[in-house]
Amino acid sequence: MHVEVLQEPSWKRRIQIEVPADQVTREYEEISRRFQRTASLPGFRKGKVPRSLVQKSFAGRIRQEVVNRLLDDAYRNAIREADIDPISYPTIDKLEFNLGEPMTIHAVVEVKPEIEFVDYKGVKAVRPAAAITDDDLDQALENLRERQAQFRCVEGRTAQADDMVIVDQEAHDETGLKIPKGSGEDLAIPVGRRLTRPEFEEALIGAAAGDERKVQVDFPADADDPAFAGKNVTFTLFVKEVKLKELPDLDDDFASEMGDFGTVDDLRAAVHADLERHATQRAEESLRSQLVEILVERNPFDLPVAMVERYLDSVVESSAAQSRRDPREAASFDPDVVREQHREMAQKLIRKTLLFEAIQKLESIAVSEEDLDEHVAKIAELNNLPPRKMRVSLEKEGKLARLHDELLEEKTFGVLIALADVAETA
Amino acid sequence: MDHRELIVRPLLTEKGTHIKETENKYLFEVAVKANKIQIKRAIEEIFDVRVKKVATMNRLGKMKRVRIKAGRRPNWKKAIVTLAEGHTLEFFEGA
Repeated sequence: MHVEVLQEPSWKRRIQIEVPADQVTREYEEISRRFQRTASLPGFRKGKVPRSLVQKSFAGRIRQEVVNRLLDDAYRNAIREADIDPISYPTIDKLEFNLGEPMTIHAVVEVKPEIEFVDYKGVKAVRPAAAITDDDLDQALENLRERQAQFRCVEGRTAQADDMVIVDQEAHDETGLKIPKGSGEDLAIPVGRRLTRPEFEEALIGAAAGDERKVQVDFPADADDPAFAGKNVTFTLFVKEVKLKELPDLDDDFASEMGDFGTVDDLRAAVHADLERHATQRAEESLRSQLVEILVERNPFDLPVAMVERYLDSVVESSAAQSRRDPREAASFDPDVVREQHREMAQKLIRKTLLFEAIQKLESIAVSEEDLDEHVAKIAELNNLPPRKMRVSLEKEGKLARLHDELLEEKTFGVLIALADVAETA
Repeated sequence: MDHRELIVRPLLTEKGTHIKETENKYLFEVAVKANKIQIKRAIEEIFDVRVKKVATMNRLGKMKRVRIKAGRRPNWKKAIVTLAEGHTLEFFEGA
């Protein structure tokens, strides 16, 4: 077999294969023999039809089979011989086949572009400061208190901002017909926090238990809920209770309620640490995305179409699956739109992946078994499992390979950052 | 009778293939009224070969019935044509 490879763009290869005549003949005889075994023609018992007759009466099918077999074999051998790692199915754009003559095949495949040089050293990037101010801390603690807020019923209180009002509600359309979907008992409506329609809040401010309020809402024809769309709905609210919001005091009791904290100071320290961890993480992410951005920009190369398309295929697939679960989305689902929306992101992602692969080669970054074991041990500890068991179960779920990739990316980022010119902002 | 009417069709069968290979004999379905001399002449002229011998036999049509109606396939005549040494019919290499 004679193989010749022509390089078109850096990500395309034209493979020209010549299969020698005697191999063609051998294959032809082999296939004929197979057909002969099962052939049944009138006048002959099954499998007893002479070879020459079989070859004549099944000429087309035998030929097809021979071509398929030879093509398949030849292509496989050719990519192995030429050491090509295709990322797309081959396009056959020339195929010459005649019995007793050498067979010529021209196949075009896409390959990962070879990136020999990557400019990745001394990348200027900024790591945003991860310092936590007292204000941040106070705000976080305030949020904690807010989450633990209690609502206490107060006799004779008129509703004000931040209160919770308990109402029975009935909805009627303009003809006086009751809309069950807009009606209910003991509904809790928070006031002054912009969580419900402004009309409701407005009507409820100043209301006391026993009051009745009416709210008119004109729903547009394209409202989300078809039960209301295009209707002028009157909501009647019977106020049953007005509740006052009470925030817990920031004291040691509160601290111990929030977890294993003895004093407020312990809680503060824990919240501070938590905030700091998040901020560091965000800073790190920002730094990383800057690096990727610059890396992609600095190292342009021809992107193989097939890789991008294949990635987009998977994106379309998963969003199709998602829209099938949600009937409202299904109507507006258009694979072509999804494709176009994600194209840029896909291109960047693939560029990054390919550049990372190149850098890993240049810097000989690899994840060793020990690295992997160490990481598995960490996960095992979090899950309270012996490391070996953890590893087996990860392997079973096919997550070990992903873990490996994650670690590799982690290491690569580590090297990149070490080689980059990172400025810290105060 | 015209030659083409005399020789109805060649018969491609397992047995026929066998005697072709071992004895240089070829099987034909021929017109029931055809005699050996006519067949010999017809084959010689159509295929441009020399015929050594012709054997014929009358085959009775099989009885066939559809539901209860009895029917019968037509009778036909089979000819075994032996060619002279060195003569072959390329035609028989495939249907």
